[in-house]
Amino acid sequence: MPSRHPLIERGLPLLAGLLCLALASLALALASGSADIPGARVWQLLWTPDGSVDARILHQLRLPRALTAFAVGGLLALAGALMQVLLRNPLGDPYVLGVSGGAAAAVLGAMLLGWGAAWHAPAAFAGAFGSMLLVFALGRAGEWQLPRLLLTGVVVAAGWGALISFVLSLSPPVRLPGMLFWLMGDLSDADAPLLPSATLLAGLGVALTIARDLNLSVHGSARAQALGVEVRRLQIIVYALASLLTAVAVTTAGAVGFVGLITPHMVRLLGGSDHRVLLPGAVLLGGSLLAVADTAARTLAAPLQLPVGVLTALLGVPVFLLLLNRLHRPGGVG
Amino acid sequence: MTGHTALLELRGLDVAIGGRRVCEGLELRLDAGQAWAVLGPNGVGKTTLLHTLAGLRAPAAGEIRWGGRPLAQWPRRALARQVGVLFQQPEAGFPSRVRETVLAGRHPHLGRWGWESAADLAAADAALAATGLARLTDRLLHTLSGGERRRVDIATLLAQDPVCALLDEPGNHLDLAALLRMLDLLHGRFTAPGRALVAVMHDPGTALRYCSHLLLLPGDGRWQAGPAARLGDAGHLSALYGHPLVRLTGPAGPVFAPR
Repeated sequence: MPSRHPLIERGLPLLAGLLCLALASLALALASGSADIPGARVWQLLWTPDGSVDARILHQLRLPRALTAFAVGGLLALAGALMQVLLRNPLGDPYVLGVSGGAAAAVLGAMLLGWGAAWHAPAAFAGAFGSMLLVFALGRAGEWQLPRLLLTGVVVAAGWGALISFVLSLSPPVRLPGMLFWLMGDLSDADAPLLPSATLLAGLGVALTIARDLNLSVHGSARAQALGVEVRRLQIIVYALASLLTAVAVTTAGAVGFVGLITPHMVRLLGGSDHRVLLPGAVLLGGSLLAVADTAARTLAAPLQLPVGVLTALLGVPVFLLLLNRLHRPGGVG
Repeated sequence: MTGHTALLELRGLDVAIGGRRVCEGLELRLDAGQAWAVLGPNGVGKTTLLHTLAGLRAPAAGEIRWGGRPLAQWPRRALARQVGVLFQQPEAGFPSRVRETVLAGRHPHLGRWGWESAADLAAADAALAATGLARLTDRLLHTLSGGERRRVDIATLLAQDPVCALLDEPGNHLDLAALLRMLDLLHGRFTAPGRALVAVMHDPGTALRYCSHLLLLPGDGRWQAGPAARLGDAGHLSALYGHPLVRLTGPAGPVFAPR
């Protein structure tokens, strides 16, 4: 009996399931909020806005925010999946390499100096990218060595952490809540889904062109090279891409933790270890996770808005631990 | 010398690692149909030499030509169709399954956007069947025994289907019977017309059973290369390992016993 392609056997059902989850999470985000709009009306208004208050709530508040949350979750999950292969380390995550630390330090610095909110996004982007270039320059002296890169990133991240504490301790008390929210990840001002969504789609497109190379890289760079992968070029692409995705994510939503770390593992545990499935699967699951977390963040304690980063961790950690325990036993299916 | 192009040609090759001279001025010509064994004491750099031939590290000096073309001019993917490596040790990575790992061996035969065709799937399944892994295809690598894991690597190399195979201690982790089955398999595949193999080995008897030529590396930069019939005697091998060996006649070729 000729066997079927493993991606068709295993990957397609998984991706179909995650796509349903993604649509459900967006539906939940659109139907939840302080204004009580029935589900059928949400569906109707979504396609034919009639200028009513409900329609404006849906199109000007909930939809952009849900899409932004989804895109940021997708960006972080994709960046995490890429970092984990690059470092061949299950703890790989955009945050480990100090990218978000750089962004946070820059934004908090701007807040301390009393710069307006308009400066926060450029400062975050500059901080994220500056930190990435710093780690890149320090971590690759001569030969590219992964342990060295990882260590450099971890140490730089710790440095940013100290700088952040320093800024916080200098800051006047009135500015502290805003700063802390930013550090915990905050989508309450997020209403521009275009940049993160476009970056996500473009990034996923690029990542899919190197998906098979990534499959080989998890077995070590010598093996990947012996099977025809230009490893150095691949590492540079992966590093630049993951950093760019992270920079856009933190610029949009602040420092949202855990999504980048746990989402790729969740997809792997569900059976998607081939990167042609893992990468889109991580985008769908990460997006869903953040869309649901953000819905909870703005409804649980309404009218108070909670920082979404707290909820991603509160939601993600138990789900991840459950999956790890249920599926990841020696000889088990996961 | 014959007029046709050698599969692999080494000219004046110097390889060094960590201040140790692996070989100096190595001249070697690997022709289709030949099987070479690389013999030498532990730590002389046999693996380093193999990796240098595969283009995984640069030589200190000299020239490596695959199919008449200098190594540096080979695009990585094309090179992976010319030469495949069986690595000495497995590397721990993320969990992956036996069949997808073996299927990944088809990588150099696919375009950037290409998906594995029915022919690629068939090649992977044939490699799984040949290595006796047909019943383990859905298992995760880290749940396998050392010998099973070794056979996954061998199956991946068979799926890769290169012209020349570089085998680094192919018998690692294999029991005696499995060792002979796997070496029969690899020898059959890579001494077929147009193909060749180079294998780092530790047992001179096994080397002589399967290989037509020997490369002896004592570890001081000197080397001896030539037909097994000339170099595979107790004198050369005793000098190589620095221990007196006796050549005995076994049921299927010579066996070397320490004195």
